[in-house]
Amino acid sequence: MKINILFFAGIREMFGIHEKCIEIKESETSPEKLLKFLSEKEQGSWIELLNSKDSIRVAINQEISNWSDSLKDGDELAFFPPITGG
Amino acid sequence: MTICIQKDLFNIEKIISNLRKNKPNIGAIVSFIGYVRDFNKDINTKKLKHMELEHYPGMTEKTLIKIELNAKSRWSLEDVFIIHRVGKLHPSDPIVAVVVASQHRKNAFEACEFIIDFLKTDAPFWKKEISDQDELWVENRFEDHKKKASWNIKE
Repeated sequence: MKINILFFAGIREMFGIHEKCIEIKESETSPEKLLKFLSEKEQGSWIELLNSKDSIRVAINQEISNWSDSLKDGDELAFFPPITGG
Repeated sequence: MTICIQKDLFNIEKIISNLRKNKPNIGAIVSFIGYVRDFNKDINTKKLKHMELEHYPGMTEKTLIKIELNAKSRWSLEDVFIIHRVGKLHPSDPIVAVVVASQHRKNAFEACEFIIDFLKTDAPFWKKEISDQDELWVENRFEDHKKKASWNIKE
């Protein structure tokens, strides 16, 4: 399945990219499982992201979500720090 | 109901006069405007040069619509206008405006406060402060979450 990952603010700067499309064999995953998988496979910034997981928010298809929510093929997954608008 | 995310400066007078156009039943308009603050000079020696505001296009609009509909379900409102700027902003620039129109002032006052409280914690905007000494992403404030929680709304 394909997942389109978006990064914002400090996380975007850490990865040096805004968007990354990834393809995995599994037919079911969650943001948490995916992050663990990517930190083992690709390492680098993914490890940093995993280590700071507790202070990071995730959104699936533009809705705030939980780390254990399920991801489907074609989903948009976003990682970002706590919101500071207004 | 209007939601605007833009780089350009907004004109609050124009927004208010457009909201009131052909709506003689509006008896109250409450507006909140947020500005870029210079650093607090008493506790900070840094001087803010400018701010960079980033957002999540698509999710931002969806979230603001949700907040607005939530406000409309709680108070009787004639209209709501939310505008938030992105990009490069300097001290004293306006960042955000929430304008609420209703027949009576109580609804407009309360709904305006409700909308800005939820915008602060739920709408995906991020601020980076560029000072004469460093560049730092602003951290979220516990007070903002406390304020939102005080509305006692289950999500």
